[in-house]
Amino acid sequence: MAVTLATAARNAACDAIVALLNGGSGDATGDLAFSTSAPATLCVCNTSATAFGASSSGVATAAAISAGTVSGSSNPSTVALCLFRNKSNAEIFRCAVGTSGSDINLSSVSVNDGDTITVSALTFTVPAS
Amino acid sequence: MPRPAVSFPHPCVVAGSGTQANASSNWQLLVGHYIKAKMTPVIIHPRPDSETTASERHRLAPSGIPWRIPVLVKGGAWPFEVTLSVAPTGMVVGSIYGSTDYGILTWDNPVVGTHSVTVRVRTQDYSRTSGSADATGEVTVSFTLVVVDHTDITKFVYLDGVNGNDSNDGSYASPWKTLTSFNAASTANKQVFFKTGTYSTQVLAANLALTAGSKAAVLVGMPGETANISIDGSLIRYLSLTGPGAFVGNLTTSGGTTTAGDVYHWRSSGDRMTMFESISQGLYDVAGSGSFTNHSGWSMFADSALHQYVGIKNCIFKDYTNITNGGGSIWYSVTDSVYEGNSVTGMNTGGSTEGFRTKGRCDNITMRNNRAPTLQSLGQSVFSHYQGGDGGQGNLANNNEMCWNYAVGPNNRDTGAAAYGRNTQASWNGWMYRNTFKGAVVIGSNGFTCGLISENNVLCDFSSTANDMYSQNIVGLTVTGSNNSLTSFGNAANVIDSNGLLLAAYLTANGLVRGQRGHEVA
Repeated sequence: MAVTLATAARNAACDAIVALLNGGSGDATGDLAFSTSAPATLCVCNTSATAFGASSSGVATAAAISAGTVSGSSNPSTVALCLFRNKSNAEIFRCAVGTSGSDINLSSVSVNDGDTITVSALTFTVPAS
Repeated sequence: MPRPAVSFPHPCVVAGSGTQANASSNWQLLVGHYIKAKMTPVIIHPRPDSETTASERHRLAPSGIPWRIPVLVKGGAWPFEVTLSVAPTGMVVGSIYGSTDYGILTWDNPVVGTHSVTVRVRTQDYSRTSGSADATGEVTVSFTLVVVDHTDITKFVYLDGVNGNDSNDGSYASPWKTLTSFNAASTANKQVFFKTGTYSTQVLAANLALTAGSKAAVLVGMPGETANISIDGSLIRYLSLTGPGAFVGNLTTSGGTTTAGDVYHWRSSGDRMTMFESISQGLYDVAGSGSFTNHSGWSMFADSALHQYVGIKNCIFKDYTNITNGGGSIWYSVTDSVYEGNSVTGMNTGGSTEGFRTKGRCDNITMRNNRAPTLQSLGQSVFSHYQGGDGGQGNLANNNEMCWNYAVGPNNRDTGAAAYGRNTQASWNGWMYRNTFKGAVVIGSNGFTCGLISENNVLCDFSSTANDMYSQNIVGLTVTGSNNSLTSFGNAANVIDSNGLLLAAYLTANGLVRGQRGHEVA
């Protein structure tokens, strides 16, 4: 049978996962590395020192994320992935990036050096089932 | 006993949204729309306290009188972003190209006290320095501005050409009327402010010597008022300004002399010389007069020292007539300095005259974003990095750049829109990029090598194929020798509009993108 998580279990799992972004050493914070499909990093947006707030109903909402500047683009390059990394730049999880119907939706995924990527809203969810 | 079936991994979900903003939507241009730094950027004005004196314009201001100074940067990838990291409440700067008071620090109502200021300049290379001469794309400068009560006569003196009186003491409440009393007074390390009026130098017994440390060398027209220092007349009475730390702001100088001899508006020498938002108008001389020549609105003369940090910003040079030898501004013996945002108009001088010319030994000079949009009668080029005899420092003319300018000149030798390295010595490390020049451009000559990198200019409307001239290079071109010439565009009316901007039809017909050639920022 499929597993159905109670809310307490969802919160526990969610908090445990996003807390991994606060771990590691080297950088001051974790980050979101917007990347090509390779993946090759194009833009890094730093999380807050505590990346996400405590979850509720299995949903954790990200604290403020700094805007990042694109570099290393082929002018243009296409953003396809977002890698969530801890302070050691070790990947914790990743998701897809598009312009609609994707995990993270940007106004455009075609980027040139010097462009700015701003994340205005972000949640991480552990569903009940 | 059967084990229960479970389903893992559990499907976690990320849901996010954000924006991607093109560089062009903020201050950084798209790649291909700017040129990486040719020279490492240096903020030449203002300079830090350790290098300057307390009476300089950026270090001392009268309370309640609007304060304005330019931020001038030699080299770097322009247009810059200029911000204030540390500043007193009310001090602002126009940060982005096209904004009000771009690159100018302003404080409308300075408050008595000691104020720390830090200016940060980021260049187009910031965060994308690969291939640039600039490793960081960011430079900063910090200084201390002391604001003193504007009535403090130990710091500030005033002239009022309309309501002043020469029997007054020169204070804010009792200003002088003419230059006579000012010249007779002790004004060392003071700043002098001119209210509306015309101030003739003809009342003086000699040229007005303004030497930092012994006489006021910071001269400012009161904000919102029109002050004109006129040298006009039969007596040769120009302004001799000597640094370090001299500053001229919001002042007009006008007229010439009917007597044979050397004539200038500002004959200058020294380090840290700044001319800002001022006008030099109507200069003239008597044909064949003078022994020094180079008669000009703002001169920097050959000297036993190479002078550093000279800046002319947002000034107008106009309506000169009958100049035998000289022009708007002529520099010798200058390094690490900038011409920016100035205009040259209405010149009818003939002779050996030009708009701006760095001459003799001048190196590490940026000539950027200047305008001469109408055809004028100049004997030589509108804008030039040149070489000539310099008794103080020799003839080197290396590491100079000319960029983002627009000038119109005739279509013949010696009287074109621009020139580089043309005279009697080899010159190296010159850069001419993102200019729009209508008319001849003269590069090197007389058998000497001219090392020039020419990039992304729009050069048009030149019909001659004579040696030592170019006609056009709308795409990148490297020049390693003299006597290069290319095919002309022919009629400029098919290429650029009256502002020198490439016509849409021309861009389309040639598969070009606006903002990648010529002086247009886009």
